[in-house]
Amino acid sequence: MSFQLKTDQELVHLYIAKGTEAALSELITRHKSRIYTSIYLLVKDEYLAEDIFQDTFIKVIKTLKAGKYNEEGKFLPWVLRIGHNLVIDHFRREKRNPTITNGDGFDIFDVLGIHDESMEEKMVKQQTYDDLKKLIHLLPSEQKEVLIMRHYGDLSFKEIADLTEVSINTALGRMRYALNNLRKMMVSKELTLKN
Amino acid sequence: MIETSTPTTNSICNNETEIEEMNFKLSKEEIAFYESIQPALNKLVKQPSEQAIENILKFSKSL
Repeated sequence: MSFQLKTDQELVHLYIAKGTEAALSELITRHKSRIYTSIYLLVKDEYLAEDIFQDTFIKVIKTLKAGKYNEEGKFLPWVLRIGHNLVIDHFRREKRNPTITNGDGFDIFDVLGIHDESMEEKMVKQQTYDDLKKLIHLLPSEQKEVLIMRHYGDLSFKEIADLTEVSINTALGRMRYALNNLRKMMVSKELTLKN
Repeated sequence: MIETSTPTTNSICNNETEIEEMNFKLSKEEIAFYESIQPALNKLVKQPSEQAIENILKFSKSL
């Protein structure tokens, strides 16, 4: 049975109705980078992001197994919403500002996939992407949230609005402010992105 | 302490979504800027560890 060809809904159904673990595995494989990156960019700590990622799926599994999942919605936005709520819970518990955190050893070379470039070019790219990440973290949390959900979660603005409990216009406006603020910061820091 | 609840539904009207998003006009400049940073944003994608995924699957099997 090729699980890769099945829709999320079909996989969810297989997991709920037949307890097919491979269906859950495929769902995780399919969405892990979107979910994990969305959590990671909000909490800025790899280890914490891993914990929240696991807790997210534990809630997902419990909800699915309890038969409480409503198939009316889409799987990914639902999981992202659970992850988002867990991030909020975490910051409420910690009572600290999510924009203040220590570095966690993020290694840009892990994701750049650079092979045939000079060391200088590698260093410039590393610095550039690192700078971009820092600029994203400088955005007001609500703007950063929308940018992350839109880009990494691939959510529609309606889905983002629903998840963050604001109107669509507010979500759209936050995206616009996020882009404009990023651009202004890049100009002021003379940061140029070369792909 | 107030905790968020786990949602069990995510009802979304996609038609409404599409219509409202089509009505949302970013300026050409804003769109061009977003497109210019998309590849860089993609470079920031991270993966969870294999261990994290194994833990999740183990949890599922344990129920």
